[in-house]
Amino acid sequence: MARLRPAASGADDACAAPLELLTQSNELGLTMVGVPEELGGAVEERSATTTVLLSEALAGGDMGIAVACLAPAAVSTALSLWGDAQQQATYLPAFVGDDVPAAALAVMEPRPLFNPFELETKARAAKGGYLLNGVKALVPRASDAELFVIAAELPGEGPALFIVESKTSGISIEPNPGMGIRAAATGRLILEDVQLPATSLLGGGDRGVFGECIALGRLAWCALAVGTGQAVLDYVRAYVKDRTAFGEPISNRQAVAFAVANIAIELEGLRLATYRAAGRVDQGLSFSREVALARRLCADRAMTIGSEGVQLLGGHGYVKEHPVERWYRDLRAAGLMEGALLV
Amino acid sequence: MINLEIPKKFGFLISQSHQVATEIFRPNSRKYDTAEHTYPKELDMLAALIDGMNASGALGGAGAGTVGGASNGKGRDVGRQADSQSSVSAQDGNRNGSNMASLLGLIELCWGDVGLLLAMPRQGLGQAAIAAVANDEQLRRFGGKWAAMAITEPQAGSDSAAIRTTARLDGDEYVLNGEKIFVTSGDRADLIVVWASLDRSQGRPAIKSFVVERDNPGLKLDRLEHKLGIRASDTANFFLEDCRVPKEDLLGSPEIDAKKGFAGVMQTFDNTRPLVAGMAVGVARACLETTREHLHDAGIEIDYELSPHHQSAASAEFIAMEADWEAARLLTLQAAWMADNHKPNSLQASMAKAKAGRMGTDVALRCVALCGATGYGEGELLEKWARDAKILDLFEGTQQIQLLIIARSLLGLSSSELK
Repeated sequence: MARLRPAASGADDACAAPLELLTQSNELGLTMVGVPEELGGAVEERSATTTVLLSEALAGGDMGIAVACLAPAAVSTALSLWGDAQQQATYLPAFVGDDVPAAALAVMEPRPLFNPFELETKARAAKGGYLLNGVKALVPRASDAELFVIAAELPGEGPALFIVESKTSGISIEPNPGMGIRAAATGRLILEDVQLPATSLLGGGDRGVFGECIALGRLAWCALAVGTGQAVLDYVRAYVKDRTAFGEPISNRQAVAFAVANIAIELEGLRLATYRAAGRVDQGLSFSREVALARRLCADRAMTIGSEGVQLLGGHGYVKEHPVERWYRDLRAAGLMEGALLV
Repeated sequence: MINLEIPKKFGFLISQSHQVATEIFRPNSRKYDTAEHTYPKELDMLAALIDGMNASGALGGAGAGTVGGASNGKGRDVGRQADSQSSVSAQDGNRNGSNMASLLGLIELCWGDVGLLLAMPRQGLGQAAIAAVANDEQLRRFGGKWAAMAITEPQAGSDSAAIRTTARLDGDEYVLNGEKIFVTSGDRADLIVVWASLDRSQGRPAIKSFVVERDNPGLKLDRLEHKLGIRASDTANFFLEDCRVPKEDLLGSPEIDAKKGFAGVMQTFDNTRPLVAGMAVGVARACLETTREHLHDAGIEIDYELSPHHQSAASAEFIAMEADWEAARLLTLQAAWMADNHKPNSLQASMAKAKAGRMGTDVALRCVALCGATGYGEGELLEKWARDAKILDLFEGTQQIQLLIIARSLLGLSSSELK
């Protein structure tokens, strides 16, 4: 977190996370945290809570860089959770080795009212495998990625996940920068008659697996929102005490002080709801409802925190001299993104 | 691992409390909402039962899942007893004790009826005040009695340091004079804990609490209030006219100590605010459950997998309300957990109270709106719950007072800086 914050503004401008930070995050073993030891990973048992805490800490530095650092981990986690022995043997060693490839989980599609359970990207059965067609949006590190996990509809069966190597013919990649999380270098995947082998289907096309993938993704974004929300709170706490107007610190005014109090209250509520959902994942309990509640708090309350963060700085919040305008842009992503990350 | 599930050991307490709420509170809810100021006699048997269970420890010393301020927190004997009865997980020293137990029981009872909970004999918040400041001899004399709190005055509500009621030492007695309003269970309790000033020129440290027997001739009932909700609970206004109390009935020390004084009295709120937050969590859950049944009957199912944009507005609204409820619930549990683990929780107690207080009213009113004429009509309890819920954003410190406390704490400001 301490290293991400100073790099945040430059990475936002450059639409790319600094290579040095990406390398360091690989050295930290982010892609190994979701992979158990028996598959070469770093943990005895995978823990959603650990990933939530990691994500929160990274997003406290910068959400965009955090997404860039965590994007490959979503793929390694997906492989370890839902991959069969052959898929794990083929792809996992790279993620637990020294030279971790860029990779991304691509779920979003570029249209209003996108519903991850009704995908327009289709995977038709063809030539003993699948023929993939469609467009994926806001895919982190799309142009660098060597491996994708892509959500596509199996006609007649429902949504499913596919392992797709980026060098496969028929894939073209365009930049797809957004309002925020720009350091994640989001791109668009255009899939035109991409021929995949039968072995590319992840999790056997099971509907439960897909639902779990969506829920764990939403939870990851909640965790990021908690981290960025905390950054907002810490920043405005200091600012409102320092800034004076009418002869005294603006923090002495209830209208200002109460806004700070409300940020703290709603942030803690979101944090606890996120932790509870992650705890249920780790305990093997149902978590669909708890993720939905955290997600809703993330979409509503975390965005309000982002907006209030700018508001409390007045005009100064609107200019890039302060980070709150970036957090405002980043926090909008947290409540609408699907996939890209997993806890 | 972070585990925010309710510990299994509280299952019995929760189910017992739920049964009381279902079988005693709910069937009498409308009756005592309509018959305001009528004593809910059904509570006598229940209160006796709870006293018995407390005495036998059948409920794990948990204050029987009632508002049991006395078994809650920092009181001396009671506090120690609670500690010895709470279990500590061997691995992490994590403790879930009497504060958590009281809260969980209370949530269930308030799912039944907040008004009846507040009217429960011998469970008034006055006992929490006694537990917080009484000496051992006073604890023995007053423990187990029904005690009401008399703090508020016509000109001093949130600003409780501004109270005008005075106490003058005359021989072996204090002579109390003043006016007290909004005394919950004031007509029915055995004892009234009255806040009065020994010397108004010395401000907060001079404010002491005095135990006044309900039948003291100097304590004159002015009237019982007619209220928006919680009508099963009587709210009394009193005049104290040369009301003489033995000097042994001043709770705690009679010294005016500028260093302590008010802080001790205010500390009571760290224990009681999570309980009031719990009341809001309970009543809001009742609203949500009933609303969910009505939505189900109307053909609307809640789908937690779909985003709000892909389900009906009613169902999306329901999830939004439930999310807010969950945030308030977890904040409330956190505040109680911190008290059980002897972590300072003033900030979290106020955050829980602020969030749950506004959530309770907001959720209840939205549920009434979702259910339309069904929700608004007296044929259902939803409209009553929406009236009951509002008090929870007012007493034990209004929303605005909680925000002041939270903001001062976060920003390191004094009450003279952030007014």
